[in-house]
Amino acid sequence: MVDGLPKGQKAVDSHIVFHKKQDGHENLIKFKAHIVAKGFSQIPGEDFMDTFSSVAKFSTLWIFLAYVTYLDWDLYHVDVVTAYLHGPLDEEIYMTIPEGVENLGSGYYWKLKKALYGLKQAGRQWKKRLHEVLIKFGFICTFADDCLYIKRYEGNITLLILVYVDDIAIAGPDRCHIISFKSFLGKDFEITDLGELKHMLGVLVTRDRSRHLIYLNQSAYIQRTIARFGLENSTLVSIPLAVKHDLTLSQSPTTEAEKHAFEDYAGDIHYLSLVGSLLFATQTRPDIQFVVGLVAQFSNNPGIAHLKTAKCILCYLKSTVDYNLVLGKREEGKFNLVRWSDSN
Amino acid sequence: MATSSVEAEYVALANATKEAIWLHTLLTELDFPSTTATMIHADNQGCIALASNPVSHSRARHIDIHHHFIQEYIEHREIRLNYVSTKDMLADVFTKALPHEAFERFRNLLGILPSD
Repeated sequence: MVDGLPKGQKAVDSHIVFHKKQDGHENLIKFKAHIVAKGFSQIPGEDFMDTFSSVAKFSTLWIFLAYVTYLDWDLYHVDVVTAYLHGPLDEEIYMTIPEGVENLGSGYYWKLKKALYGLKQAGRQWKKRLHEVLIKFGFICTFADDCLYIKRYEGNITLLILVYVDDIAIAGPDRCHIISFKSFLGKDFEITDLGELKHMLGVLVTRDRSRHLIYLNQSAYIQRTIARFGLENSTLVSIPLAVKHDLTLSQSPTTEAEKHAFEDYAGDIHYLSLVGSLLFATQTRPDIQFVVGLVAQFSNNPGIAHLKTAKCILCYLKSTVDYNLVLGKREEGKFNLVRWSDSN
Repeated sequence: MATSSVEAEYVALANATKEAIWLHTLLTELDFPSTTATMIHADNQGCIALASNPVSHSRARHIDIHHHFIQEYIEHREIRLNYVSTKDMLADVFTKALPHEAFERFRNLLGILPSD
């Protein structure tokens, strides 16, 4: 706590957020209160500089999982508790004391030592801090994706980790390396040991180690999306789009009457939300990639025909909700890279 | 805007090559260096011919030269091209609406399978 601000310095506003934490069955677990900074009151160039923080690409995650499965390595998951509170700050930041916290009077401020949720640079600073800790442990960051780290001993890979903000997937050929890394990480941060990797970014991960296969699906997400858009009772369809589809720009509404007709038809459904939800599902369902791309082209001014097609994609997902993306050793033999190229 | 199917396929091939290079980098870092050139399947003969013969083609001179880096990758045997007929073109599932049978066959090839 400081008495008054240095000359020319402005304080960032703060706020307390109250939150009820519930378990999966909506039972109350605990009440939480977070002190957050009002990042929107920060001044660019003074209170923060860069804010970009990379996250792992989904393609890296799939390759990571395919690789681990192919080699039959152990795969674990840890989560860093309140990750953003660990980031050191490069700037001198003062914050007003939120209402409800004991205060010596007006004119007193807090000087921040570390980042807080809400600060623009919190994500970036956290990533930077974690990077330093990982380097200290002997990891090197890969050139292909800076969220994938490798640790070697005598030339051989002993640990491979993938970082997605506060989620860390840890893999290695020998469990004892994984255990020692977890305890190392626990010295710098409070971590939750989630055991073997079961979920990552909303994707359910199941392994069949005897067959060297890994199954990925977003069925829980798909079910939730179906309920969100009220399509629980929709009919089942076996392909997402008919061959002779006739989606064109001419089906976009042009007159006020047509716009009203679209709004009446859409009801509570927001076209962009639906497209966005479908887009997320393409991560484990590349079979809908083309048709999602197609409906997304009409996002600017969607018509009834476009929305019908978008809903139909969701019906298709519903009909095939138990399908998994299967990675790993699908054929005996060497790890081989094959690509397909085509245009339309 | 591509003015011919060869150009469109050629640009697509250039993108596939870039992705292949990235994957190649990643797998090499993971101790899986490719020992053979990465195979890229394409279904356009004109495009394959253009990429494989580094001479200037009068009817392809409008194609932006930065796409021609593919020719070097082929020459250095980092990638190689293979012609597949349209019916075996897996990437079709990403570019057009397909009839049932083809859609399901390609979906299986992508590794999207029902739970057993």
